[in-house]
Amino acid sequence: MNADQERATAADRLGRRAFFGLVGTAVVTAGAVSAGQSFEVFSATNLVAPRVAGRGPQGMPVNKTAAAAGVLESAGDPLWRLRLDGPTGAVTFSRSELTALPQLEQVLPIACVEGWTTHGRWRGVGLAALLDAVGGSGGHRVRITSLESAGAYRVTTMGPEFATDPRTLVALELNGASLNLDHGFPARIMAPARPGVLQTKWLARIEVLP
Amino acid sequence: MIRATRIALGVLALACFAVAATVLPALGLEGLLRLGVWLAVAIVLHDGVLVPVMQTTGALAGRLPVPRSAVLLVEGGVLVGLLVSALAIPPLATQRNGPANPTVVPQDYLANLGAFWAVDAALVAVGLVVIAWRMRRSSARPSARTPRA
Repeated sequence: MNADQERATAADRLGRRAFFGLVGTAVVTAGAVSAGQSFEVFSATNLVAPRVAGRGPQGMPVNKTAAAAGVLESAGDPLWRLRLDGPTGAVTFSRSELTALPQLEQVLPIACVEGWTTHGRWRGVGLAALLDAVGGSGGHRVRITSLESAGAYRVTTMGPEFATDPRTLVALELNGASLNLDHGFPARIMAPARPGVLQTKWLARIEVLP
Repeated sequence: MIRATRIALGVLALACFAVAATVLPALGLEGLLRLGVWLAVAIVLHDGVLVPVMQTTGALAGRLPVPRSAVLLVEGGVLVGLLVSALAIPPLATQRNGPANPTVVPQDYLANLGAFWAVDAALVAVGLVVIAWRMRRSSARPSARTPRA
């Protein structure tokens, strides 16, 4: 059989229109059964995605639990304080002091690099207001440290574009209730358009960098 | 037009290679090895499972005295079912190995796959009924036109 005959046989078996129809159907179906973990419109047909939107404590999936991070004791400690360091010195806040400050509410997504995205209604103190308390609202980078004793994202650096964004929160509540331990109690960072792993949970310290 | 499309796709592919060349080193040696395994498994799944099953399905259905469109429809149904089944392998494997927490792979993936195959088969069956109905109608038409004696 020569090349032309081979091509003719293949074309006879499956025409171009049927080929594209088949590939299109397969692609659309594969998307429909797996995209529900990120797009609510597909949540009814989420059959094979590793996450389910809204499934988890407070309607939010969890990547790293408090137990896995080894913070069960330190995060639940009533003596917990958030320490801020800036040009004018250091200030500490207890959780009740943070809740007494003016609270902001933002709908922001946890957009995990694993591929799932779930929006939450977060409530807490604006990071810019806290930085202001230590003289650090002038567009500096900040270093954020978690209570975790180890882990690639225990310490992260946040650029001034996020630190001064009025939507960036030191979040204390999620979807109308105090943060679940697995979502970062007593306080976590929630900034718009940052990967989930950089939304530091179980905050310990925020430093304004020179 | 086709030539221009081919050239555009070629340029797009080269651009993708260029982006990959800048991103891939960040994976490190272990990440690159895992990527290699992932790509190899994709080829094994395609050549070792998908193609033999599709060829067998096509050969078996092709032997039946049915039109080509019916064979294609059955092949299409099997192909889509196999693709969705392949997507369910990683979560099933993760469930077997023990997920990190209860919000990871929380679905009953086997039951979901069963339901998907059932719907897939039902849609193919409906399609086959439509094909049979059309064939009957087109074969009945000439005799209907024949004037009665």
